[in-house]
Amino acid sequence: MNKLFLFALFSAVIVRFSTEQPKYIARQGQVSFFSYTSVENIEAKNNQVLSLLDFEKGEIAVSMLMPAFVFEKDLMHAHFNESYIESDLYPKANFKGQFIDLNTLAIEEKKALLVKGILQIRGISKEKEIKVFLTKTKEGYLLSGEFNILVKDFEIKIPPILASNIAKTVSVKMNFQYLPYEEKNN
Amino acid sequence: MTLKKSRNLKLLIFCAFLIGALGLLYIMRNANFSSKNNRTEFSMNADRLITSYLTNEKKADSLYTNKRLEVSGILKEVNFINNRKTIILKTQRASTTIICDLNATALETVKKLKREQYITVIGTCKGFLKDVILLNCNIKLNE
Repeated sequence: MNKLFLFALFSAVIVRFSTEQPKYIARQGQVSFFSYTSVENIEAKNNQVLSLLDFEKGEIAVSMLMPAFVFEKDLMHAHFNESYIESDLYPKANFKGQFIDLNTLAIEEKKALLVKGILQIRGISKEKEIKVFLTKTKEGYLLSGEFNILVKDFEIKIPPILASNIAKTVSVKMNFQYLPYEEKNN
Repeated sequence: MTLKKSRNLKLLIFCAFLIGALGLLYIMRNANFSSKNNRTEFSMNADRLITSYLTNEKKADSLYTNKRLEVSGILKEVNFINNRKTIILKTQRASTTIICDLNATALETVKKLKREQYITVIGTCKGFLKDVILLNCNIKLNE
């Protein structure tokens, strides 16, 4: 009886392994950032962020268009793209990272994981360790996370007159809804 | 008494004038907003836009980024991810689409859409990832 039970359990694990989709895609991920100062708060959202999850390699890749950030005021959008990020020269920001201790079989409920990788903004690359939460859904996975970036790390030049309006540390939030990705059809 | 009546009449005329002026200003502002949003710099179908980006992304970016484009194609889906009404246009390449984030004026029109319907959107191009991204989109229904 015990042998039969073990065999059934082993078979279930094998089936689960073989049917587990290795790659997932989010085409409308959300990344938002917040700058809090005593002078003003600035918030912007990008709702069309692309991300790929590769469970086989334990990797995550994120790519976003800088001009696609939406601000409350047009002037903020203009300053961000023209003066700070120079999105004509650097239209995309990218992140490529590796999950530490990823085991998709163990992910059923919300699970905290660490991702270590390289964040590239304005063509400048910085190492980043990000804590994320991964949850299995009916169709795929949900991933959320939050981290801070230092404005000076990416050589963003802020004129002295506006220095008090922009925080030195900007908080970044992300949310992705992943669906199975098949390269032929996607 | 007559003086008071005359004063009231003047006040009434002034109020009517003020309401009329504000109404006119509102209509003109909306008309300006609408015409500004419908002014386009390029008009093409979804396949041509995708082909431009797949052939030479840098050149396509210099032509289209931050410009208002009129793009026609077949509706693949309407979704509400991130609390944003978004429509997806098909292209001949299954792997790439046109993602159109709708503005407030398009929210009523989107209710009339059906899958596989041939439609035209007008939106501001933001570039290309795996799909072309258009923001602040209006919908033009094709007859």
